[in-house]
Amino acid sequence: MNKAKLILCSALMVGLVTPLSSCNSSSSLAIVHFEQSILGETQKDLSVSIGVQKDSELTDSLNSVLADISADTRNTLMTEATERATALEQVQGDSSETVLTEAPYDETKETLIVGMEANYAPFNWTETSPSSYTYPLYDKTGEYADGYDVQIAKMCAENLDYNLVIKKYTWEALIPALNSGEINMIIAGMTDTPERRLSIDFTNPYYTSELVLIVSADSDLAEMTDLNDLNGRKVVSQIQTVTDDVIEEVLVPEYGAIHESALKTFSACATAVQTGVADAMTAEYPVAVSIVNGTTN
Amino acid sequence: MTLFEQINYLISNYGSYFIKGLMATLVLAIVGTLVGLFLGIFFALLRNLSLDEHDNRLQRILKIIGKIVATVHIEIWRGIPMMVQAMLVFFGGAAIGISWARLGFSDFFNGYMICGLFVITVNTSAYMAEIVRSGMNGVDKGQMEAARSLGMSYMQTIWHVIIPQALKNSLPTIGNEFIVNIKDSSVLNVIGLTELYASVSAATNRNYFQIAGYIIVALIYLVLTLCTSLLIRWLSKSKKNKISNPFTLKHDNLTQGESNNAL
Repeated sequence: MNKAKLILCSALMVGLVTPLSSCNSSSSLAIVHFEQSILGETQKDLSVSIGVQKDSELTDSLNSVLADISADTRNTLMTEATERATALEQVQGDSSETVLTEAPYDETKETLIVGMEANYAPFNWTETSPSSYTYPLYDKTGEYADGYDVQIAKMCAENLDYNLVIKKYTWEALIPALNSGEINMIIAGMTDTPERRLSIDFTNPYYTSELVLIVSADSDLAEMTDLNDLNGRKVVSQIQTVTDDVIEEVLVPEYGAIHESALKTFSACATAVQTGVADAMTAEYPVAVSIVNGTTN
Repeated sequence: MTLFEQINYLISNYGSYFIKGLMATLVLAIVGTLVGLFLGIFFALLRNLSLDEHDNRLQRILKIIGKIVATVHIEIWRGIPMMVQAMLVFFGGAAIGISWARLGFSDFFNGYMICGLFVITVNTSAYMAEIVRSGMNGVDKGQMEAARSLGMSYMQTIWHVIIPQALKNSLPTIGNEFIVNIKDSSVLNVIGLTELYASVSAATNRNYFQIAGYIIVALIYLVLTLCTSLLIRWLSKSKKNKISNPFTLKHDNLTQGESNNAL
């Protein structure tokens, strides 16, 4: 009796996995650029800022640090981060640079606790081994954060002379974590919006990007020239993000797109577009680049 | 890359994540179920308290308070999804000054893990209380009357006659609760705990091999739950042979004790 069940179970599993594996799940993706003028009407630019607690004393000092980071430096940092994020093997970087396996702690200094998702390449993601770019994640042995946000966090801590601690939270938990004092600031590719300003404050932007669509390379949408082509097509994005708001506020009312219910992570959205669950997803340009390049591996 | 290559890539590059996630899930499920069971017995006893005509006023008040506390505890922790409870306990706790992060004492038992263990244990205790209570109510009333008439006290009867039978009868349900805990511990990723489910997003965050990742953890979960089912089936079989009727055992002990006294 038990043997029969076991055989039945394994037969079911094999039957489930084989069709999945025979179809090549990684259908490649392509980026479609929006026209900038369309975004202008939403009154939402896609610049990302550091989130801090209401009336935090950190805001001014952080703004002065950010002001010192030139546009060129920002672009270089983002290009490098995107390259590292899309490489199949982890980029180790310059061997002369120090590799941190544990977050340094100096008792004489105050500590800056930064929260991020560590799941939003190239802004922030998780690596299994340390490199000269990564920073150890708090309370997560063997997990190291890398990305544009991590480099910005390092610069902030260095210039303000603080110890740096980076904690990993899910996207929706970041603002509760900031408000409950678990973290001092959010550097997670978060856009400054009036809704978020109800509960937290933001610094000046530390990166400005463009909103794009990601579609399947085989789909007719890859050749689209007009946003009206989105009529009746399903568009998806991550929950509680500006890229998701754009679908609801612009793509649905003005171009007749269908708003697919938002997913937990951008990786899940990429899978949704790859598998045809959604026809397109909205994303910031650097994120789109790392998704498109990452999925072609 | 085909799906098999993707699975292979994830296991060879991120195998440590899956193993760590598996350990966290197992610890959450085992500790949650066992400690939850003990707490559950306690709450079941509290909720099952009945007023006796010999009780004095203080005893009556204490019993009523105990009953109310148990009922409120069970209804609250059973009536709210564990994901909501985890968010409230972790961030709500931090907002009123309970810093879970500071309670951690090692890499593995960090603040998230301590909070996760607390939530899953207390949540399970509410379910266990109802499981144990229904098991207790399923034991024939005559057993209590017989034990009491033989001179056993109320607590003696509960511990030596009622609870063993209640636990034996509800062993399949308790095992079920363990399986539920293995799977439901996945919601604790909202507070930053990296268990088996969350290990997928950590492993696929820049290669986007999500389907491959979820197939891996699905297989791990399936192996865990299948093993548990087999273990429970084996346990309930061997228990059946060992304790045929606890009441006759206790009866023998009692008569022996009495004859010793007589001598």
